[in-house]
Amino acid sequence: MFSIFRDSDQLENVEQQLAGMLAQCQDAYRIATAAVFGESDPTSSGDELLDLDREINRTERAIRRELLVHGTVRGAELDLGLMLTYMSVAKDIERIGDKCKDIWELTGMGANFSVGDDLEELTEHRAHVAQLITWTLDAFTTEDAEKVHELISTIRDDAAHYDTHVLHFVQSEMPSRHAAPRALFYRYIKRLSLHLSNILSSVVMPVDRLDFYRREKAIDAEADQ
Amino acid sequence: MSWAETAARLGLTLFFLYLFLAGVKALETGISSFGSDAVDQIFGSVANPIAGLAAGILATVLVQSSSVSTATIVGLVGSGVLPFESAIPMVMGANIGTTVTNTLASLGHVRQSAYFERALAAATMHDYFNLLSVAVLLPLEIAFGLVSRIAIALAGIFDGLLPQVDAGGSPIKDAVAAPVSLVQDALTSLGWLGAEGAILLALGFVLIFLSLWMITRNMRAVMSGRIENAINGILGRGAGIGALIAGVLMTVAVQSSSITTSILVPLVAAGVLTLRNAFPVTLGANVGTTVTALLASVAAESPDALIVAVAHLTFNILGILIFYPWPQLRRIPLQLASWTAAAAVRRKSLVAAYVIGLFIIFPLAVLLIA
Repeated sequence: MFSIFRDSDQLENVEQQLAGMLAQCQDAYRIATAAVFGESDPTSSGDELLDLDREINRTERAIRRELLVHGTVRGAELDLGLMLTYMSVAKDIERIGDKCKDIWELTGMGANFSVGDDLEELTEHRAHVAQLITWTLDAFTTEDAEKVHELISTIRDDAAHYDTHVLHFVQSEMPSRHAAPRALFYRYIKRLSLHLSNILSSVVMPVDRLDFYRREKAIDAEADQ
Repeated sequence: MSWAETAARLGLTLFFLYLFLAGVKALETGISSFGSDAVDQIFGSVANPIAGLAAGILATVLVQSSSVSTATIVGLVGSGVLPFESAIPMVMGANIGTTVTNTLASLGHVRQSAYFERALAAATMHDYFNLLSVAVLLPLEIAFGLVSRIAIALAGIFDGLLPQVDAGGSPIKDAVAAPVSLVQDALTSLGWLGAEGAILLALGFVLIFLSLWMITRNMRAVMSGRIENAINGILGRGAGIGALIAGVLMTVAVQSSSITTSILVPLVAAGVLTLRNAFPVTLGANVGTTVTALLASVAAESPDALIVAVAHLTFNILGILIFYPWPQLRRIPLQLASWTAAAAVRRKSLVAAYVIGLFIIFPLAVLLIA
């Protein structure tokens, strides 16, 4: 019972929980894409994915409570900026979990990307996004500003590229049972990547500009520190 | 927080604890210097237990700290000017008076009705528990001396545990008496003998107030990580004896029940902590705050000071034993607090009437009549 009186840095705990949530998103993305690429049974992987999503949501709520307790006990003025940032990051990570669920739900539309001429390209994008999640986790935990700028720039380029794909499938003559899941997949990985960008922006952007990344503003903020 | 900072803050806390005890001693010495007529005039009215209760409420509301008021009461009992029988209703009043801090804190949530309702319920559940405890235990004390009999028996046990030197008395008492003697000598050499009592009384009060404030400040800084863990543990595990013990330990650590309960109010307001789960922490805070009076009794000359300090602890434990173990009784303060909060949301002027009525008009009216 007295273990609750152990001293610890609560914000460090929150950071670890955020990193844990992001690692769970890696798993969720792996499970969701495996289902949509026809590598696993959607029904059984769906249960696993829902469990992970519930765990991500639970952690998000726990982080909110812990930040509230931290502000109440310590006096919010000390870490207010960091607390607001962590609230925002937790929300973005939770949304990534949702996007993974959205990807998995494409199986309900009959999506199976293993069948089609564009398998190689889809696989490439799938792997790239998985890599982005890993890099984001790494840059977020190490607070590597240079890596953050580089990744955000990559994600912005990717987002424009994914929009082109979405437009391509929306306007294509392909049967809708092929075109619609692909358009949605590109749309979802674009949204997922942009949530990663928001998470990354928390390392370099002032609180009021979280999610609204501009490299020169970030560099100004770093210079002011 | 680094080890060096923690050690420095703990060292400072020990220093302020010494100043606190010296303050109790100064207050005791100062009040003893007044003539018996003056003392009778000041404390005659609180011989009536209801007036004593009212004086305890009012004094605590004025200093916004039951620790300060109970330490002062212990000092007065220690000086021999206030019999412990009269002091017991005063410490019961201090219990009621200390809850005003919470109620005032809950007003910060007035902008948003749902938040305000929960915050006010969290604050007033403490009021209602203390009021109900007094409603049950004060008549039993007046009729049978229930609290004082238990306190006398327990004080006998505690007294045996305190460090004593057979011939020369307590080394702690000698240590805290030394600076007071120095001040007395200085006043004598300055020829201010006539004002000695008033100066020592004022000095004692200032020392008690400032040292408790500094102890709370330091200990809050040292303990905040642990308090966060404790609160997170309570949020995770829910209500129960663990939450009650956490409330005791948190309050002993920071030497202020108001700090503990004021942490609960925003958490209940935000909806992350339920009223039911916050309740045992509040009860624990009631018990934890009695440590201040027990510490103050260490500096006091008369053994009656220890009796009144133990009576404070006894009163709070009896209150818990009456209301906490039985779900039907446990619900009463929570239900009353919820009704009050719901009514206050509909008519916000009720809050002002409640605060002014309970914490100012009632005690003032009783004292005027007495």
